[in-house]
Amino acid sequence: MKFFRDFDRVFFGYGRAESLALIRIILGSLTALILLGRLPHAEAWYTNQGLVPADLVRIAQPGYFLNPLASVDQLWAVQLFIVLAIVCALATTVGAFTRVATIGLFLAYVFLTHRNPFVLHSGDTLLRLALLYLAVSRCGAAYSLDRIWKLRRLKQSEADAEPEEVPLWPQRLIQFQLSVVYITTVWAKWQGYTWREGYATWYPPHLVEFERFPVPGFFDQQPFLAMATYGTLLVQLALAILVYHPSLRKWVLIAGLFLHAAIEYRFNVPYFSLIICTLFIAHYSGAEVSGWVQRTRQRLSERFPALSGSAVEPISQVSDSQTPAAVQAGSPRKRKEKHGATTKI
Amino acid sequence: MLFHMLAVACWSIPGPPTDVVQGRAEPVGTDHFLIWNRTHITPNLEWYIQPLGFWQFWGMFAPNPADADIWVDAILIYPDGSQRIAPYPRIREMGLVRKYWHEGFRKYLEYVTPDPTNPYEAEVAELRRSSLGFWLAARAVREDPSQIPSQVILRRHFRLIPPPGEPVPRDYITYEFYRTYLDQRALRAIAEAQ
Repeated sequence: MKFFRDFDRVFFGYGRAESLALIRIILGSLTALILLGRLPHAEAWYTNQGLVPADLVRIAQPGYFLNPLASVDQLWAVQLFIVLAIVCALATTVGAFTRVATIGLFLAYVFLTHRNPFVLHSGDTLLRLALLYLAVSRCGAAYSLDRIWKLRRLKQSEADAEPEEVPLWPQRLIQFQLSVVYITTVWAKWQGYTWREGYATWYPPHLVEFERFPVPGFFDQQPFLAMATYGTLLVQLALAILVYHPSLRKWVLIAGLFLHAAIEYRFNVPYFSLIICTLFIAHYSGAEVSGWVQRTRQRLSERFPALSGSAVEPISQVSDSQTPAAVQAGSPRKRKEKHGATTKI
Repeated sequence: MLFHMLAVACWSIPGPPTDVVQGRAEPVGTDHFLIWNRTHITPNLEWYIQPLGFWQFWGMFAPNPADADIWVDAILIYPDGSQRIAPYPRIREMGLVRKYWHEGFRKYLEYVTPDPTNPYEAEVAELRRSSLGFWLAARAVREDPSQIPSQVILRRHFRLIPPPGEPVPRDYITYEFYRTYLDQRALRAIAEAQ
């Protein structure tokens, strides 16, 4: 019974919205950039005069895909659709009419994806799923214009108002999605002999279309190839499983950041690393993120006093009692005894 | 929520190894589960996974990273017999920011290669290649509306990357993989619109 109680508390509990809000801000801006980049290619990618006529999608990808853009062939209409999606992305970023904006953005992204799935990579897939989880969440409850407008209506200031408690199941879905990404990619890779034999990382740097920045030549020799190949698999496995252990979370995520920074530096796989690293925030509770934001704000105001217009709020005690990691470690009180009360990111 | 998690997990589990699918190897261990998942579970989840874009697959550089370095261009043939090369956007030649925004063009080329698992492959391949050819010709017409090409030949340039320890070839092998006549009326309409 304890297991079910814990499961219910972790998945269907309530908590602060700052983690989801920070993810919303970063992903909203990234999506706006990505969509802006598609605008010049609207004709090539989304009209019948381009690379992918609607008939091609119907034949190549039979199924139940919602694809209303298949019946739109005017370039101006497609461009207008993308511009509206960008507006939704910007509204998502600043948290204005957040629920409508996130749902609109998710649907727009799905429709663009289904109109032409042949120009998309893993980053697009991950972004589409992340937008879904944001759309079903109350990610506008913090760091948003919606929050400011609400407090103004209630004639309250941010300092006096209680932070809003929101359902945490969308945040748990993001964590679960990350585990699915990493565990299934390790599984798929383990089917390949180059990964099992420790030299898979030899190939991508030689595909010149993936080239970005150079590294010294010895990185592409043994034993570095084996270290990079097996290291990738180990870090990805840890990101799927070990990240839920409270004492390992920070180290696993740092290893993940290093892995994705290396991919981002070396290979042209646009946005994927940025998107997945943004989703790492879901492994932290809203209270932890809020503490981190307050500390950063305080440091900035100390360093640049001219920039800080208002007094900085005192740093509050941060509890990560809402995280699954915390539940696994026992009650907040027990953990306090074990690790101390304050957790820093 | 539990159903969504289960559906997403089953959908994302990789398919059985290629050797097993193509009958070159007997299924062992988890292969039986992977085959059962692909034949019995995922087809029954399509109604839920597909419409709103919950579909996903995480086989980045899996099961093995690609070992063929490929790029594509086209030769346009004009009614007077003259020829001109029509380049396809090549990521390698772009700056850092442009690479971000043009990645879709590289990805598209992965789909121009045949997909033996699609029952409509012949039709799909024909449509993909003719669309690519027409698009390259239309770009050329926009640049120079006074000349309308009559035919297009698509060329693939590739080099195979050997395993570590062997020298990587510098030169690319070029071959023509598609040739077709172009829709003159459509190209003339594009020229007139310029």
